[in-house]
Amino acid sequence: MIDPVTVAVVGSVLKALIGETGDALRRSSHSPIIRDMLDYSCALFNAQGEAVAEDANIPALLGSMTYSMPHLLAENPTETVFPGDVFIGNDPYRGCTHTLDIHIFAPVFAEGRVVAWIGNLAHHNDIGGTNPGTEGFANRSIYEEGLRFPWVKLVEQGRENTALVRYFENNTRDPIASLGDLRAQIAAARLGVRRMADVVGKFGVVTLEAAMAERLAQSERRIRRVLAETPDGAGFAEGFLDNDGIGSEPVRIAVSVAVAADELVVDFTGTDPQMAGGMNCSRTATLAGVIFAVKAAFDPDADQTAGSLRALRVILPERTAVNPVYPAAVSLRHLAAQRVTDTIVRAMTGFKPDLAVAGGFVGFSSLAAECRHPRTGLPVIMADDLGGGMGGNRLHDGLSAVDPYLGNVGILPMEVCERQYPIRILTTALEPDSGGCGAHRGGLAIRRVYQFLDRCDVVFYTEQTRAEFAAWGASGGKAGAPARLVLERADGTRLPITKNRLMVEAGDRLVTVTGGGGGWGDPAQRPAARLAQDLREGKISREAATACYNLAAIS
Amino acid sequence: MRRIGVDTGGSFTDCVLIDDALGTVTVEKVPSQPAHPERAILDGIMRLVAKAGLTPADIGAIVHGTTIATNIVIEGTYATAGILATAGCRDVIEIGTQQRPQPYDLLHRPKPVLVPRDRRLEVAGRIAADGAEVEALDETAARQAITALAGAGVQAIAVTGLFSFVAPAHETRLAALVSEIAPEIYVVASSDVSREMREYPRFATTVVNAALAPKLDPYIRRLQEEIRRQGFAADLYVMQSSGGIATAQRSMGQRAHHLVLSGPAAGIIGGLVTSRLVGIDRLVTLDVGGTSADIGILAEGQSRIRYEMPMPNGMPLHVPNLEIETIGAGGGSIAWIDAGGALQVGPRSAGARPGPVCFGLGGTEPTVTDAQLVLRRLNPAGLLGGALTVDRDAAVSAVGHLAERLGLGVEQAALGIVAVMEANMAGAIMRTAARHGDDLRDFALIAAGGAGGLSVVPLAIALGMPRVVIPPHPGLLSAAGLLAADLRHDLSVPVLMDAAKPDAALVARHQADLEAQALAYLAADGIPPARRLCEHALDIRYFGQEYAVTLPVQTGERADAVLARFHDSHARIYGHSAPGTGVELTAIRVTGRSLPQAGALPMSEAATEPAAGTSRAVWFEETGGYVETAILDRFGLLPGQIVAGPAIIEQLDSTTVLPPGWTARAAAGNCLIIERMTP
Repeated sequence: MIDPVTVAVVGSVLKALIGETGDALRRSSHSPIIRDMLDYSCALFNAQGEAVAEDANIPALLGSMTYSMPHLLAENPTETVFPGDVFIGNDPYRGCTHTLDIHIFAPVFAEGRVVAWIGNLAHHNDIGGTNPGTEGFANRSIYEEGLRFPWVKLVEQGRENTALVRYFENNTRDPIASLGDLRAQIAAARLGVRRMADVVGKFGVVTLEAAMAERLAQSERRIRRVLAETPDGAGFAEGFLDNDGIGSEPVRIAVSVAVAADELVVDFTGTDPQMAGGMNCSRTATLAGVIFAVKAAFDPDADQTAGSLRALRVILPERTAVNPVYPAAVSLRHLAAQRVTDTIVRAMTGFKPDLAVAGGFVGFSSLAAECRHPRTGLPVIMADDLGGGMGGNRLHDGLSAVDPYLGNVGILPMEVCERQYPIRILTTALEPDSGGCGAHRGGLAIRRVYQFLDRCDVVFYTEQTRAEFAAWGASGGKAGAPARLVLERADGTRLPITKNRLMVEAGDRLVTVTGGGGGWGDPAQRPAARLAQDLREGKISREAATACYNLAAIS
Repeated sequence: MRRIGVDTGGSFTDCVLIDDALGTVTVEKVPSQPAHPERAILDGIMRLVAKAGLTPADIGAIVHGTTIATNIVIEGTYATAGILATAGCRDVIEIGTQQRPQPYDLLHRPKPVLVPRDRRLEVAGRIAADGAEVEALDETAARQAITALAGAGVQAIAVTGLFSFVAPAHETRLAALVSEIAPEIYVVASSDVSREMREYPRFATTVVNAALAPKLDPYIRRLQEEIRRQGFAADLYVMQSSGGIATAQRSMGQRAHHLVLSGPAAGIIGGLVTSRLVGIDRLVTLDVGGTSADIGILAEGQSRIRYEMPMPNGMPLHVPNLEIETIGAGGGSIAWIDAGGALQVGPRSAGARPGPVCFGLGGTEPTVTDAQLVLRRLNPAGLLGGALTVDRDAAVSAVGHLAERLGLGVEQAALGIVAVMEANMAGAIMRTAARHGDDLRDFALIAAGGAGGLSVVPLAIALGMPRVVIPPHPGLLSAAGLLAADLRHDLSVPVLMDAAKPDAALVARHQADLEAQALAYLAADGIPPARRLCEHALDIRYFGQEYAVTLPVQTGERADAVLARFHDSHARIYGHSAPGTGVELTAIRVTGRSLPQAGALPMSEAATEPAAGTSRAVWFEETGGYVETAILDRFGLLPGQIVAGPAIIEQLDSTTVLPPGWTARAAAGNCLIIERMTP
């Protein structure tokens, strides 16, 4: 039995260590998606592959590492793992969520055996496949989604597997960035392994393992206790994707959530069958959504470890949009996972009164463009992902211009974009009237206008373009505005876009307007001062305000 | 010369007078007056001068460290500012990075906005990434916007233009128009405050400057006038976030935001003074107060500068600043048990009110200070030389409640509270050191602040650091730092070229221009030629990276020699390097400094005869129980005297814990040097 002080001390040391690996990864990476948009996470695991400490920027990514570890362990029996090994993997059918998220894991050895694992995950801009940026809404199978690494050694006992690295380099569209990021990932993992040697030296294997086990147990006790204090209850919600990526009818996600004693059950029975296109939510991506929603609703402040998953039971029917089987395409799983999360949150509002929130923007309007570097002429892949409004809630207006729920990526700086890619961003603005009306209104959407300065091969995609699927209002609040994208060609033609791949030419413009958050509470209850301020700041127009608020109160 | 350092803190204003000729030091402490900081300053320095038997006219220089900018930032009490932005960019400042500070919070509170949207106006005109003008500036629109902002009653206007770090023409013109149309309004352009790429951090810096200057400038002017009125002829200098000082004149206007970390920076420079005193040039400073701890690193006898920092509200600020890591761990940090049974310490603090349980001011939750008192490391008879009475029984009872829930004895729980806080501190020190690839085994740890001495030795043990230094007055380290700081000007120009084949003539020209500018500033500051010094550095990165390594260089140094050092530094800091791949030169930097005037700073008189010690039973981690322990008066130690642990060394403003197995030696400059006992 280990004492609580040692557990806390070891926990603090492990958190600092994993944070240090995150610092190293970010600062030495090559592509803006890691260094500016922070699309990476790091975590530390026990020998059994359970996450014990994390440095998470993006909530979705931790779930991905948690569910891929068991696959790595199953494919690589202990006797084949040696000190100095570094593993790579990205296969959605081996625990990952989509091929662009490259996972790196390195074992920590002590007394001749593995005692822990150091892992990190970074989103790469391209890993080959049909489309620039790899993601493809219309992909028919995983074979259109680039390189798939099973859990193999990228470094064997300290020696880089040159063949594998060169093969990787030869199969991505932006090899300089990809290789630079991969090297930063390997270095960050090795740094963690080196630091762990000090930790083992200081505390000893027995104490370290006992402390890790107790950290997991503490997480489990904490979530069970919170669940036990929550009155038993259940809620149901359904949410829809605009289509399957190819053009079908809306796709239904059905979720029921129930608390019984100290357990939580999330059941996706009733969800539509898996899709023909690339919008499927890979199993791990769905689970990441569940983990996020449960933590946000029940235990937001605690350290995240795998222990909190023990109180969770998830029913995921196979061959559905939330648990597709091989070889379904899954590269755009983030859009589906955001809708999954939004739907779980909505279901939980049915029985959890303190979770009084409206829906947020889950459209994740994005583009990936293959073009030539403006100075060097070398191939580069530009990627940008835009957030929108969060829902209003019982305490505040919703946040404007954020990537809600599972995402939290940064916006691409306008100056970085124009320097590094032949794309000039003309406007980055809040979109008036996009936030749903309410006592606490929804957050505002983003308007961004891109002007292309050279020919580019571009994949555009967004969700939540239909008014009926816009961010939902709650407790009397109104829905937010849906997203809309328009490509304005240099010749004056205008092409509305939802999910498209197109060649664009110099002079073409893309106008992206994302979606706003839903409003919370009766709009008539909105304080006059707040409404007056919104009008003064131009966050709502007089016409829109007249339609949902009592303007007489402020005039 | 006779010089005064005056450091305004949250509770006290510390004043130090040094007479360089006589080598004497006088100190004075007066309560701060947050509403009128200058009153406490005047009160303090007048008392100080009287105490030293001098008159104001005898003083040659006054150096001020201030928290006024920090407080405006924390409390959000900015001046009323407006923004003139490139068309399409007025919301950049509100959108920021598009990230949520608390990703798991579904009931998130809105992010603070310095300038509301109706005071953010746009003007057409666009500069391209290479500096070419894509669209001319719309002067008619500009005039209308400026008139509108003036009509809205703004005190300051921030001009925020895209790519102004390449071509500032549009910003310069807009600023000129503001001065023409509304000369009473303070105006600042983003190219004036930062030449770094990335619109959001640069715009944020500009807006923070605009929202600070109208409040800070009058304060500094008022202070200068008051000092004159009292008969001082001395020049006034202000500590900057960079750890350098600047004349009062250069601390205003476009430099106003340089004062955001004025207070903490002085503490790091105080560490630097101490490092010179004891001849150790690699130090980690740990300044522990009631609610937080500041960590700084000094390597090769130099403080470390970075060029961007996050503000407390999460906004980025481009400003040369000392790398200071602040964590929520201090004497007032509260110990608690979470729902899963895990022991946690902080980040919540009991602060000054209600304070630790043992202070009897209404605190009910056990703090680190209570734990240290339970273990009798703090004197149960009272602190601050008996001026502050403490209630150990109350501390025992508060820690006892926690102990019961943890299934531990009271002392074990107290040890645990201290250990968890120290582990959090050790983690923060580790991360700070790791950013530069520092090996802590080569560093000494220096204690500052009232609570630093309690934890430094256990931290040194945890981090494998061989040595600890206790300065003569840990609580006065900041005020001492003020008097040791250099005048400092950090200048740079952004460039973009192949670092392997740089345009050597262009680099040399930029270096010469910057150096001339820095030397001119120092001359204007009144620094004689023999004390002016310029240091050069280059920012270099691998092609495709955004974060560069700032590498000190000599002028005219060969590119291959510089690159070899770059690859080495990259490998040391990040664990990998890639010789053979493309490398870019992104900035040329020059720092102009005044060489220090005086050498060692005598901080207090050494004892001439040993003082009689006392003893009490103290519990150490290593002893597993109470042991009768020598309690020594810090200033009763004779020069060169060696004390073996276990011992507690007390002084008015601080308590040092010396565990078994460690020795303390009264060394040069009245510093204590603590090292592991050699068997």
